Amino acid sequence: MSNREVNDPLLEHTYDGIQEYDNPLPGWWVMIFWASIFFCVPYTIYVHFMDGNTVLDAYEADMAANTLNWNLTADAATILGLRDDAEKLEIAEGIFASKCSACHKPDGSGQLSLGPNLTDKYWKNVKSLTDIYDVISNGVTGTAMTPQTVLSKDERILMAAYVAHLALEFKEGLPPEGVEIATWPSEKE
Amino acid sequence: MSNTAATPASSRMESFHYDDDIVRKFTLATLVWGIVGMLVGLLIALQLAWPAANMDTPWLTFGRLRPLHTNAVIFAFGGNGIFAAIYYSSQRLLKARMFSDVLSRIHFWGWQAIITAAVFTLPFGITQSKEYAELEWPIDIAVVVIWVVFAVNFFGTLIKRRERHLYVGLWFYIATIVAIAVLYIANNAALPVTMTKSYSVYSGVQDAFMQWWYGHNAVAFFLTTPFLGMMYYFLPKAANRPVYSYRLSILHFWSLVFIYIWAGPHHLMYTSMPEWLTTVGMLFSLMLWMPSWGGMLNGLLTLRGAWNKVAEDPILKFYVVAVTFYGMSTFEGPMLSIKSINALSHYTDWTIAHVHSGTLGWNGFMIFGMMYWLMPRLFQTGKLWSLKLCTTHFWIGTIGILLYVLPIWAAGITQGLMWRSITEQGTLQYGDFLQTVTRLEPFYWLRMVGGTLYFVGILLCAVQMFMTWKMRPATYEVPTIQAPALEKVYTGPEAIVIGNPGLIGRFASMAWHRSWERKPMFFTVMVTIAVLVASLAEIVPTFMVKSVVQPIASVTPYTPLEQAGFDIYVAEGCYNCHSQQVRPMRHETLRYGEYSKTGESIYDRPFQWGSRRIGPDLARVGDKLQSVNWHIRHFKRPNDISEGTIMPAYPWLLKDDLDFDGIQGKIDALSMLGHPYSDEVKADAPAAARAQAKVLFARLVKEDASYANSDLEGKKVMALTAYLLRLGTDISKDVDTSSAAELQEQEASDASSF
Repeated sequence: MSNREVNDPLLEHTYDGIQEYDNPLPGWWVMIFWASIFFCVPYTIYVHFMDGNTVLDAYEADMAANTLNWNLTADAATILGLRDDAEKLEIAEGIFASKCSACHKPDGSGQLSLGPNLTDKYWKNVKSLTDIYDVISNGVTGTAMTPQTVLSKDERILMAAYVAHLALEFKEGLPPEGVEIATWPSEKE
Repeated sequence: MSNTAATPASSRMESFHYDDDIVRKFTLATLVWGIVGMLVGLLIALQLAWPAANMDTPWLTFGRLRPLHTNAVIFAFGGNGIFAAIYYSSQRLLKARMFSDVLSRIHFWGWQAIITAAVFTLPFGITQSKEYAELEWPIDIAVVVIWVVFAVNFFGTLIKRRERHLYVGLWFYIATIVAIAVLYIANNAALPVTMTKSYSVYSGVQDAFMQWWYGHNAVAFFLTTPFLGMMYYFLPKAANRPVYSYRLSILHFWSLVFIYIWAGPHHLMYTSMPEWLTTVGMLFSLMLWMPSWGGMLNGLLTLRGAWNKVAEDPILKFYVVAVTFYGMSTFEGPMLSIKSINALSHYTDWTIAHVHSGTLGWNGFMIFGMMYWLMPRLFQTGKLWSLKLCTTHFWIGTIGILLYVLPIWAAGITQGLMWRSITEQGTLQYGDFLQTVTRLEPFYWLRMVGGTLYFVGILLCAVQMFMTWKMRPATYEVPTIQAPALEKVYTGPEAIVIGNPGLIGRFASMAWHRSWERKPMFFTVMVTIAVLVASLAEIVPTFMVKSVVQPIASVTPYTPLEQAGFDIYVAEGCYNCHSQQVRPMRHETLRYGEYSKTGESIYDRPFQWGSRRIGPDLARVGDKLQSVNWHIRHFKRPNDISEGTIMPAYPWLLKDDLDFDGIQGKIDALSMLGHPYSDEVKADAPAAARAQAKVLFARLVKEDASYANSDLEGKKVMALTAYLLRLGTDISKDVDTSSAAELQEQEASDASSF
């Protein structure tokens, strides 16, 4: 900005030596102010009284378009099938990170008295593949394992498969607990 | 003092002195508390990068110190700064000594006592947990008393003034005094339990509304209007230039005062706050853009023709940067209020960056500019000790602000994007919240560098003040000022409207406003009306419209033990890092579970929705973690459970005894506020709490037998764990019988309509 002399109209009054110009309001300032006021009316009418998306509308549409809807059955064959389905296991990985890793550790290697190592072949409350699903669904009384009610049935079946998948690759962590199951009974058949 | 033109020659001249001693006091207090508040800020900033910096000491831990930082910098540094400005400029703008020297001193010492009380309560967990309103009820009462003292002193000065018209700076001071009184009293309404504990009379969504109506307007009327008043006096003084536009002053003053009040709900977007309220918040925030920029324009354009001075004068440099940051933050604010942008920014560090560009840039630099301008005048030295040091402070401070704001801005956007990132398979890309925390560590270190530079700046200011003070004369001169007394009736000229402009032209010429300016009480009433109308327009529907709170039959009050846990959650300041509000967004419900409903927090006094997620949301933590052992171990040493976490350890929760007997008073108070408890609980709350602690302890031993001989059953951690196990689980519970449900619903709606 230049240091040119300013010749704007000065008002008469002075306060402790401070004077004021009688400059008009900047045009663009007035325009944007009016625009921000007028914007309210169509916005409100559109969002709240016409077919504009409210927050909940948008959420429900998003969920409807993206919720798992496989209608799976909780049997050994389904779980085995998912165990080897790399694409679906990726979904499970995300769920494991947000729902299970606090106790079982992000890699599933377990924490003392919170969650056993899921990467070995030793199991505490499981004898068959579908037992994994039962533990996830109902929890184990008296332990840190609680019923995972926040997960849908499809998700619980998927997580059972993911846990079975984790057992395929051993990771150093909590020492084994429970009984060894080298191969699932359902695999032998 | 040449303003005698409008005064009839017959007026008798009066002699008086300005009280500069009080300004010296407030200026020194500004500096001292500024150093304290910023030092605390540095310590908590360090803890985010290096959690061990709390040294396992309760009163040095982030959750307890963050409120001390905010209160100290806002109310102690900012507060004393604006009082210095008001006491210096008002006397001169009104040609009158302050109404009462005694009131001035009560105001000064009372305010320092309040801040000292904050220092001795907040770090010790004595808090209401409402942001920037954390001080407990006895201190709240002291604040109100001192504010009234200040108001009487200020309005008394207005009445005995010798200047007919009120200058724009004074309008902003009036708005500050009126609005802060209304906001502070309304938001802090609470029922005391003991001298150090109270429960908000509001709960849940209504409490959230009141809090952010207050919180937003504390920014408006504590960090904006008084600072604009300060700008309107000290900037033209320092630049020796007339103010750019009187008309702009009028328009942006009234629009700012009226519109600001409405915008509070923009702090609660996507929460269970009804959406129409957040729409109002967003739209008024957008409307607020130009009124705010009116102030910026009047500041910057006043410097037209004085830019050569800016190059030489560090004080003007401070002002230019301050006003520029004001313009930037008041653009960013409305932008962050746009729903879809808020969806990304809310709960992230973006908000922290936004706030600090306003506080460090606008508030801090306005105060520094003012202090440097005042020093030679207050200490009567004619000049600063070192202009060079002043310039150095300016540059260090400016670089400090940039190094603070830019990394934290980047941190906020990084975190927001990581939270919402969903893979092609439809699952969270960063399902483990911790990943989104550890990613920010480099930004936190950079922020430390910026903050440290800014802190060095204020130390330089302290050196400057000390050295300038040392140059003072043996005794301060007290110049005698002469001015004619005001005539009882105004006989001066009316403002003239040029030409014949018609009704609209007459209005636009602002001649009507000239007459308001010579009626301070009428002016104050008009400001009060503007503030109250805007407030009531939102408050009344929030409390009267039934659909605002939708009771859920299965949601019941906390048990006595859980309530004790809730109070520990409040005392430890958990809300400073953890929100309790799952927003209706797919990535949030994938991560945390069902989104939060209004009916869920009706027994939370105060509400715990939070404003920042340094850690994950806890609204549904009870659904996720039902292990007692997990919580015990996590409190003892969080890093053992989640490697790399920045949550501090809380070993004292495992050592401190829970005050079971104190629970009775809490349950009594909450019953009074309408929480429905069974007769047994009301009769003996401590017994109910002990019984639940016993059950919980048995559960712990069952989970891990090694606890059998521990004494955790009677420790604070049991109560806090009980609360966390309960959190968010009520909505998925079955309701026993329909009649019980109806009763609860009835009582719930009674409680919430308080």
